[in-house]
Amino acid sequence: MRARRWRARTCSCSAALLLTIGASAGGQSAAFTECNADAVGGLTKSELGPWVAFTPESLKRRFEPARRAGAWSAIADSVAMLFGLEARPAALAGTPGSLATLPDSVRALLVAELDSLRAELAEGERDSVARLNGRITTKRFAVEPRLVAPQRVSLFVGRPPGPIVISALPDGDLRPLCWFALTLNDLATLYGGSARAALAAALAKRAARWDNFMQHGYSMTPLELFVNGYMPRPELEPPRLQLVLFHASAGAEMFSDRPLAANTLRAKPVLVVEPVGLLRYFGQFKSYSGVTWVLAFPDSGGLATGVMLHHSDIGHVSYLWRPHGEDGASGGALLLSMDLYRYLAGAADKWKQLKRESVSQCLADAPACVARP
Amino acid sequence: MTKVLVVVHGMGEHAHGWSADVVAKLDAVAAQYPAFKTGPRFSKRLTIEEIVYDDVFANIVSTWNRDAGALDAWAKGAGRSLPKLASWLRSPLPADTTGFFWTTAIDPLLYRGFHLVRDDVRAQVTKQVADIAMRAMRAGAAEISVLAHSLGTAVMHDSLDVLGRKPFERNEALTAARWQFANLFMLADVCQLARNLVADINYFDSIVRPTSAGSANDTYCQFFLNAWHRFDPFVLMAPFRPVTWGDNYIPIGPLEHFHSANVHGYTHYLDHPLVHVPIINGALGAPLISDAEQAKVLASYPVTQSVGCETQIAAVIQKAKELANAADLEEAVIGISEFLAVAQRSADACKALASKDMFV
Repeated sequence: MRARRWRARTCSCSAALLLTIGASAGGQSAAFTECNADAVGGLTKSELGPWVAFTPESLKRRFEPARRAGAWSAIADSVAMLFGLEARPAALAGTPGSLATLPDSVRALLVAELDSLRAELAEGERDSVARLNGRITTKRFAVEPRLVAPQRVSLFVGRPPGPIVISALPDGDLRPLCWFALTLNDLATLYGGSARAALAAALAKRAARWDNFMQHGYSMTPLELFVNGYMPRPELEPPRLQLVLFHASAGAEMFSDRPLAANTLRAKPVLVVEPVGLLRYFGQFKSYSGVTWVLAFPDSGGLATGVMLHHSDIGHVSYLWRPHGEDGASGGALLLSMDLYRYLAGAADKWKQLKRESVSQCLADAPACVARP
Repeated sequence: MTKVLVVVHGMGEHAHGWSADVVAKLDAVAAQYPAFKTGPRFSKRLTIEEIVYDDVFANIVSTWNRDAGALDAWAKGAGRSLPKLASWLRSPLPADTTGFFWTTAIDPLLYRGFHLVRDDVRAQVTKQVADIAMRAMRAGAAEISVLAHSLGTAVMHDSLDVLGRKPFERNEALTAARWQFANLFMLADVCQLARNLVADINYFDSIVRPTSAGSANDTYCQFFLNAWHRFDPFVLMAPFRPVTWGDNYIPIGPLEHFHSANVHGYTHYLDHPLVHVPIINGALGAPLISDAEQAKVLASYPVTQSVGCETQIAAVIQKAKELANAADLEEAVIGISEFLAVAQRSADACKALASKDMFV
């Protein structure tokens, strides 16, 4: 009797909504309306009548303190009682329409899925790691509105022995069932918020590792880009080891025929080919170091060969052997990247400046300087 | 409830903000129907989010310096000579054709040919999807739909599979067993293109399927829409037509309209009522446009509005048929460049086939 009375009210109050969403008349359209959170949210107080305290949005607000207190499974219990799926204390006012009037088979499905949801919520209450790892089936109570022919609204699609075809139920059952599902859908979604934030942060770090590797790592020729795709690595992570293969580069480098005399370093155009080598990346792929076999072709004096040490922060340095130097004699040679040279030159200049300042301070006040420990 | 439409681009140059033309098109087509004659336009009734991954390709192409020699060297070094592509690039080609190669057609080559590029794209896209999901569900449940086009369909097939197939660092929040998209709308789905080069995902059996194709634990969306055009050479090269996915798989095609010289275009697909009506209704989660209203618009929707462009249309169809017979990725990449150039020339010759958004 209660259900029938409420059904009549639903049909009249949802008429405006049906016009709004442009749907054809009938129980199927009522299911689209009752299971659509936006349409429900658009109902006025007078249209809601005794349901005003039981909209998904009202219940979300009502249970906010409980959510803050972490009483997630208790909220699920309360929702089940409010909608008449479980017995409730006499003092607790429930929804005007009840899930108790649903066929047994439908109620059994609801109870089973509710139990599973409660178990997941309870696990998170016992163990915060479970919650942070997203062990909650957010989609369990997601309504499925099929908008192309044949139109229908369903719940628990793909969850045996479901689904429940909501649009095939009598009008009087639509509101309690839809709003119950929408409320629990919100509950499960809100519970999973911290896990989604943690996942987004972890995936952002992975994307940053790729940015570091691809944009700030040691440059790759097309061949190296291809070959390094086959280096061992965890799924969807950049490789820790980068193979250098026939890597050619040309440009100004600091070159010296006498490796032990740093003041003979001169900027020279040098073609460098690294036939093979290996680099290792550290941490978040912001830095790397490694070693490569190098062939250098300075603009004069012929080929030199040797080993090149790389470091992402300061550049590279090579000790080379030249069979035929500029004067025709064989011997060692030194090759520094401009970055490394500037780094070393900068360090030397800084040391000289400190020394100069220190000496002038001493000269200005010799007794104090001598007395200084 | 928050409703989100995530738009994903295809081949070609796409910087942040690229989706403006797509959103404008959706607003324009929605405005034909009574539900949108008053009230907010379509894009104001939900949240639009865009995915951008083109910067991964752009960075690489800029280092290659648009050099055919670099491409050739890679191909030879990789033991997979690309003689057809290399000699084609070295032949005297019209500037528009080589332009389309370096800005557009090279994208599938990079995505399918280089594991590092592919995985970088997947990592960037999964990160963006997770960000969108986190934002959308901050205040409660959300319905998130994806609208992807061309290469973007393959990227989304792949990225969603790696996002939803298993937990990442033990986090299950967005796995298929735990969460799902409302709709995946795929326009010109090319996931099967050069499938032999990336055999890590079986697209017919991945989690990127509608619930009717499996169980709630191994499917990632409620509905999967797949739209294709009879003369779209990209989908003809490697058709993707699942037949065992149940009735939540919604195939739409073959479409036959010819309102733009680029029948592969994003907005050209969206222009068709058979395509945009389920997208608009699905993204908003309500039957805002009825079957009768759709039928009325369809009845007056011409196959082509381009009277006097028959020669140009014939040229586009001819090139599309040639491309549909491409034997491999190499021929496909050449064909894509040539097809787009033919489309551009057809639009130049017959303005009725042109639109400012034809290459979005």
